[in-house]
Amino acid sequence: MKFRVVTVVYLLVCLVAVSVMPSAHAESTEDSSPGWESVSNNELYRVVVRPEQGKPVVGKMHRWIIEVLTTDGEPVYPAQISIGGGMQGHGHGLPTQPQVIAYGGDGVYLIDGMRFNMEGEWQLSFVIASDYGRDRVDFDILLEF
Amino acid sequence: MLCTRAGLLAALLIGGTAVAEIDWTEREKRLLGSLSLSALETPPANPSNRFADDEAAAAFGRQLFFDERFSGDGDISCATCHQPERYFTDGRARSLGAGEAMRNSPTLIGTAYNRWFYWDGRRDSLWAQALIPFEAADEMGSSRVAVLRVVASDEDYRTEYERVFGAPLDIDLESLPAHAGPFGSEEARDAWASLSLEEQQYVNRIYSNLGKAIAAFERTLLPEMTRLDRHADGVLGRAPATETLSEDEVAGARLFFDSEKTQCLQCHNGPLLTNGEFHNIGSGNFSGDYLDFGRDIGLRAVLMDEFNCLGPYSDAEKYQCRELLFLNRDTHLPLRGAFKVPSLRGLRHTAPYFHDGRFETLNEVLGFYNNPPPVALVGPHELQPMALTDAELAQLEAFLLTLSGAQPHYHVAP
Repeated sequence: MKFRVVTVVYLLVCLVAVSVMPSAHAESTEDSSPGWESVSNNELYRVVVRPEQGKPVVGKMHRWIIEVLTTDGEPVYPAQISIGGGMQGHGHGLPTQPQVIAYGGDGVYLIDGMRFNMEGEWQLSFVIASDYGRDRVDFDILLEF
Repeated sequence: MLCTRAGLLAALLIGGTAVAEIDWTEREKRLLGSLSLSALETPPANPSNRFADDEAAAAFGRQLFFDERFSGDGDISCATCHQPERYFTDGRARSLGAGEAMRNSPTLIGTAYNRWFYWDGRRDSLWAQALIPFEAADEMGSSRVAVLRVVASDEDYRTEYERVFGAPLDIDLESLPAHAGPFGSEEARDAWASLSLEEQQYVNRIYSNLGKAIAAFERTLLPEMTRLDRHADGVLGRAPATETLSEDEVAGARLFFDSEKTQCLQCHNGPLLTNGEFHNIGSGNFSGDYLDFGRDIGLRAVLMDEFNCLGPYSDAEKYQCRELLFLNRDTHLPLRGAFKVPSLRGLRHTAPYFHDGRFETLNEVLGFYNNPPPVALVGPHELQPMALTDAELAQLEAFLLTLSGAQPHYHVAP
């Protein structure tokens, strides 16, 4: 009987210990918004893209930010930005047609209507036209559940 | 380590029945969690229907859903093809209304989460979808004016309508033809054309409200907990671990998660096991009696629908119609023969399968995925052969069936 009581107390102590142990996930510090940076094909623009909040997600329509600078670091405005992409590995395009919906200053534009419907390697392409000329920049974005 | 094991043991004991521990990897645990009902949020708002979550509208809609008087011959209701005792399907390959339809009747469970309706997504809301069957020749074979007549001439319905929508149902039945609508019989179409624009709009306003009430009811049909959900909750510590999976079910789950071997998760992800989009798996019907190009037609149709989110009968502000505003309208994508990805919940109760109900068993379905039709025969599609053994296919099937509840019957009939 005594053994049983001790066992139960021991198990309860362990249960509390397990419940307060940090999990592998909690230790991850990758929750801040990532970004992808690249120079356009003809080196007209330096471009940074990232989700407006957090990491890119599978399933939900969400917003992205695109920052367009010249390679000298000058903000580019006005610019026409058209967005395309898809999964080359699967032979399909984006399920939606994202669009620039606002300009936030300093070469930063807000994009709405982005959706990824599966994990894997997605390609995003941006064709940028401004007084500096027309150029294209591509990104590979790896999404995991 | 000893403490961890003992803690887990304690958790199992405190939860009641001890269950066998399965050594899921961290990725597998994360995937289990992402597929389980605990990851399902409340249904998204439907701004085009301001009655979508109105209880009185849902109660009214439930009556409309089961009422056979709305059909041309008075013997077919929404529930003819969406039977509560069959998980809101009808068990047929192709539905049988006033005639035989081209497609299989999908379940309504979880339909509140859909972005697009019909296998080809030709409607963008549940209420816009609900308006089609009344006038379709192979479904209820009636017309919108005849539907309004049933409501207006039933004292209880009239009272209910006016209470729910806060507007008088002051329709002048004498001045309207018996049948009139843009999609009904030739007689009905001619009669519709003879109405003034104001009369048509007045009829459409009331008609759209009936759809909104039916949609409010259908939004209440939510998926039930399954063995997989209970297991995932136990594994992730969301609930006591009371449910385990068999060896075959675990092996099937691992095949489902294995993006090298199966790619199931590409389209069947999230707690409803669908990404809600349109994909081409080589199942389009480009010849024969049931010609069906799928999304290629649906994409054009939803943009033309006067009951869509951007139309005059929608309650949404334009900016709220995000699915239509950001719709990819490029028909050059492989949309010819693409269909909406169905949920994998409730498969035990929803045979036969595919948009035309061509497969009676899951075994046949998995056989199709294992050896998809050659591109040369059916055109471009997204499937790669899986090269699974018969034993592995059986394991996949065992896993899929853990996503079905025991009871297909939803007791919702009035």
